[in-house]
Amino acid sequence: MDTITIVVPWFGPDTAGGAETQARQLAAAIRQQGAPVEVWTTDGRDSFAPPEPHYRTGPDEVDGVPVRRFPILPPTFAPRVPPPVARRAASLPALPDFPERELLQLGWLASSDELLEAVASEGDGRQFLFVPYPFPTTFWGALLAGERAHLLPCLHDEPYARHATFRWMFRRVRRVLANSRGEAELALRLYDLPPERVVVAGEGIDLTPRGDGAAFRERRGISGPLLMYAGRDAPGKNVPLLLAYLREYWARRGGPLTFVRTGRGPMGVPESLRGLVLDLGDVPHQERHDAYAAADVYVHASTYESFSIVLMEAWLQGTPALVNAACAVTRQAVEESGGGLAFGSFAEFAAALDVLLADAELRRELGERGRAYVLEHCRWDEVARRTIAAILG
Amino acid sequence: MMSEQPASLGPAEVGAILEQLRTEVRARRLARGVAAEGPLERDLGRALDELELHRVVSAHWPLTARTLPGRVVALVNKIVRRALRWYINPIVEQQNAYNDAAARALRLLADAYLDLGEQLAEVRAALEATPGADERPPHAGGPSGAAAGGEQAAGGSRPAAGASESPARGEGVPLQEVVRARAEAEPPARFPDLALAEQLPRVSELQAVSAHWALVGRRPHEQLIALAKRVVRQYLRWLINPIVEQQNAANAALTEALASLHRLDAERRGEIARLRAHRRRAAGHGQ
Repeated sequence: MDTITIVVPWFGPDTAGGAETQARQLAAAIRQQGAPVEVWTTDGRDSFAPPEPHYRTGPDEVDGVPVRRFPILPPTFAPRVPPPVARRAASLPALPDFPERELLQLGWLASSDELLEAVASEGDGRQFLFVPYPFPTTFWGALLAGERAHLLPCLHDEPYARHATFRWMFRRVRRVLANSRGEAELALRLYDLPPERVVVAGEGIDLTPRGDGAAFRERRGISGPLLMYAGRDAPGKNVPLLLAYLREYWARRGGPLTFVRTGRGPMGVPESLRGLVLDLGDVPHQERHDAYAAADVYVHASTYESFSIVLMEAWLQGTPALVNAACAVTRQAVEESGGGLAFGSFAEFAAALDVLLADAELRRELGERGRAYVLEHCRWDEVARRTIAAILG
Repeated sequence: MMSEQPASLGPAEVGAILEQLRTEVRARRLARGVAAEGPLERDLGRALDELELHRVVSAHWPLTARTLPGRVVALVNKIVRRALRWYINPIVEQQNAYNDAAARALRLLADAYLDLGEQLAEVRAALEATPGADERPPHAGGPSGAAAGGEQAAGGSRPAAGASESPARGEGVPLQEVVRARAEAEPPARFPDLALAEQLPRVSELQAVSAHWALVGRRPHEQLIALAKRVVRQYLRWLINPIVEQQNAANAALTEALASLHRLDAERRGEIARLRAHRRRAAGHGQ
């Protein structure tokens, strides 16, 4: 049996990031299924840290999974073809004439020439799974791996997704593993792929946390309606829109209302909204789960999602969700689960909150549906089985 | 042949178009029931018009002369300018891209300012129409501590005037349809600050003009040309770099000023929202 070799720019106990967390949990789940799995990565920490060594280069082990770390390459600010690719140019498919700015972008993202060399020279007996899509380790690695290349893209509808480089890459890999039906549909639409090449392997979450909503409210001194969002204030997460809608809703309704945000980095809340917004920043896991449980509605305005772990976590605690209708992934999850509502405008945002906040029984009902959906769809063992079948099958 | 005249409208033509646009904007604002502009708003409008007229930098102004020696000098200047197009034009284009982004941000900021003025006028009018409504100062901490206790309070309290009735459930109407139907009754809302928030990252992204982009070639003769250009650029650094660096400092200062104004706008919007929420509570809604 070939070894499933997960190639990801960063990997380790100190590493943050959605795709990196997914890679770690997936690797452990594949191992638990008894399939041979290894992770190849750089010695850098994550995308939030400078591109320099953080972990020891060489062999390591994380969660029982063998890891090989290669030296991270400092960013270059000129279009660059990595030496392992240049050396094999004659035997590799000819690269189309990609726009210079796209090759330039590949040059300044985290990569490792040694890692790419290993993909090219030690591929026998391995099937590669490249995670996520917009990195040189994935782009050049998939080119070097040829028929052994599989992609776990964590794709969302962003400008990068329309780059000619990535379109070319998606069309070359043996299989694309999507985290959700919405992501699969996006890949099919953007890259015109044969449907059998895209498999919805899904994504799992930790199903064990139990939040204590009453304790959270007591600790934080919160009474009355409580809304929550978990995530960074990053482009595509639509935090400015969420804040603007909340502000207007509060101004129009005038009732008691608290909005809690957890996640890395500051949210940039004006002082005048401090009474409405409680920005907790990065909190321990249990605190986050307590906040989900305490919230009456989990509000998610982001449009850049391939799965949304935080939406599933909120549902796990039985909290109904209000998501952005412009995000196919979260909207479809809401439609399939019946665990919430979607808004496409401020008017719908306000109407949905009115409906949800006015009816505790309705919230409980929707939250239960969301929880049932998560318990059925987000089991890591099932995700690992589907992933193994897609790669080794 | 390279054109020596900027391919744009003359100031008089642009002025006429802007005046027409101003008239249309005024008409639309009046149609929305917004009061006519005051002198401050008019000054702002004219300043933005001026910005529109002058935001594009041209590296190709006319080079002409009447006398024979003057014509010779002009011809030499044209040749030099043409020979340096590869160097000067990309710098000017980068600055124009920044000017365009910054000018758009200023227009959005002006729009946001006018919207704030309208909101403030509405709050004032409402407070005047309901005497006593402003006797209680706005709760500095917002409404969160104002009502109801515990987790059940959300369902038991009335968070919204429009949410007082139970939603239509168990009648075969999908909940999302109920939301859509209710949304139709929601008065329209404007969020000019969102367009501004989207624009500011673009302004930051474009603020640093570079005089040192990659000069490379694929074929041997292209590589030779690239090498010659690198030599020329290296020599002209004494002339061009200080200009670009000064312009970059100005760009950075303007970007920071725009960001500060945006933060101020957000602060004022929050204050007005708090006033409106307070007025709503004082008028007996949202309890």
